[in-house]
Amino acid sequence: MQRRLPEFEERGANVVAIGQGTGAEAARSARMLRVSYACYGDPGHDAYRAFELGRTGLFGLTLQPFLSDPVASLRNLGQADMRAAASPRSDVFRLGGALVADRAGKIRFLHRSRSTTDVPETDALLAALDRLG
Amino acid sequence: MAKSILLFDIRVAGVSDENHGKPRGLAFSRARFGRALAYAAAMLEVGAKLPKLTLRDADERAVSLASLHAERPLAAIFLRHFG
Repeated sequence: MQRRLPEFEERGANVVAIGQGTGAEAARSARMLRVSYACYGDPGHDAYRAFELGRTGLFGLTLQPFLSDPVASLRNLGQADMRAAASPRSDVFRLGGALVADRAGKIRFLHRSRSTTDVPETDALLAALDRLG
Repeated sequence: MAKSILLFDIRVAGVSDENHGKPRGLAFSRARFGRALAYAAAMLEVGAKLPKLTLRDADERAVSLASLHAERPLAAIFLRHFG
């Protein structure tokens, strides 16, 4: 998503990341992931719960990513924010997701990751923005 | 027939004396099924309005989710911390 940020900006989208933990922890995670857009913290995981983002298990967190895509798994592990992951406010089993909402606040695209390797397609987010007209 | 349906309803409702001290079996399953249906109905899906949520910026100031889409469409990703 970072690499294709200009495409989001062309479409006038406000691109943000939402991370677990405090605002400062989320911002540090974003820096580690080298994302340049705004990152907001969700210390109580209210947003993660509100969007019903799932949780994986020990197998899904450890072995399954290595089996499905070892290279990507190692790359992700290298970028992981271990300090944030060790925070009491962190839930390492919580899966990610993505959404697109219009200016009225209506959800136009919603992706709930089903595993740690299930990453939302950037093209799908861009297509959702295109449909807004 | 009607009696057996009534007995079934009493049993699934979990009020039968037969359930005392034992797992509720079908009654428990139906309750769980009801909760699962309610859960599914309440799930946010495409077309729904964003919930009212407050996030924190890097300086720990409160930022409402509504403010993030007020002027421009919002594209948000939820980060994972690990792996």
